[in-house]
Amino acid sequence: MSAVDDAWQRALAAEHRAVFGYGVLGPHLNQPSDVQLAHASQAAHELLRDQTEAELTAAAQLPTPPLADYPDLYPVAGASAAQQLAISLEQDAAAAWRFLYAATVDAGAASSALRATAQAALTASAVRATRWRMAAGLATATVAFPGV
Amino acid sequence: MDASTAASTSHRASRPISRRAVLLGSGVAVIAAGGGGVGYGLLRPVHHTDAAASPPADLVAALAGEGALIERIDAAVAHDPSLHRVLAGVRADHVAHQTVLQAAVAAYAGAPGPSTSAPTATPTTPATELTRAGLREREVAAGTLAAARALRLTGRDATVLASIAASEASHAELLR
Repeated sequence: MSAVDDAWQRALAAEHRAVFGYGVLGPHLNQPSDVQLAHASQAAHELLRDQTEAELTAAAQLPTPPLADYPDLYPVAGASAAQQLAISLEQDAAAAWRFLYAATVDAGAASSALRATAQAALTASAVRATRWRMAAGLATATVAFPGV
Repeated sequence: MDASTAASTSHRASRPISRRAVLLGSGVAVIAAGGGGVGYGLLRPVHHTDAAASPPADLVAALAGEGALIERIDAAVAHDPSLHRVLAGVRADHVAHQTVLQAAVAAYAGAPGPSTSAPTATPTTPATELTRAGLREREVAAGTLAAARALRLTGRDATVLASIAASEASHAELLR
């Protein structure tokens, strides 16, 4: 498996984990705006997961399946912990897509479309992480280098 | 080893080390250890194949752009001090971007001296551009431009700028 394919599968694995994680944290949120943000975030990750699976399949790759469980995401002790988990999920997804971006950089023009996809996903997770930091009332809602 | 470390490590493989890059690396280690928002390993020396190469124009332009954004934020806070609270973190991010981009530019032996200065936000900057909405527009544009520049760059320069693009999009979200 090439470095690009490996990173691509890792990005898919991060999306599987994010989708699962929002299902874990959602019931612990107590503000309607947070619940709405969780629904929107989960939907975005589901869409990206499905697109990534389809693109991997089109590239003759076997998409990595989700794990049966993600015990590292438990327990979630209340609304604040749920917000922090959402931030963590987005940071992890951003890191996975940045990793794919780095893998595509020196892979030549053949991977330029995938590079653009990785940029879009990295940016989307960075923006969602900012939304969650704002929802959590953190003094600093942005980071200088998302995915690092 | 996490993903980002692995990515950085892969970029360091099998490239000759220029003397300038080594000196830069030893100099910035203090910054990386001491804070300033840039403890990400992004200041480790980059090893360019062509030791005499000039830095890519997109990299130099990105550095100048960060300086311009900082100047604009300072002008906006001077114009409306109530913006300080929301802009403090944004400004710190841009300073971190500037620090890492300065190191990336300086890693090229053919880099210009430290006098690489950014255009400044002069008193003639329209007041509408010094508002929260005006700054948001600037961040949106900066993020889009950084992503486009990243696509034209190679190696760690490209990945750094991709991350900066994501950061600037998150600034726009904060200023929404």
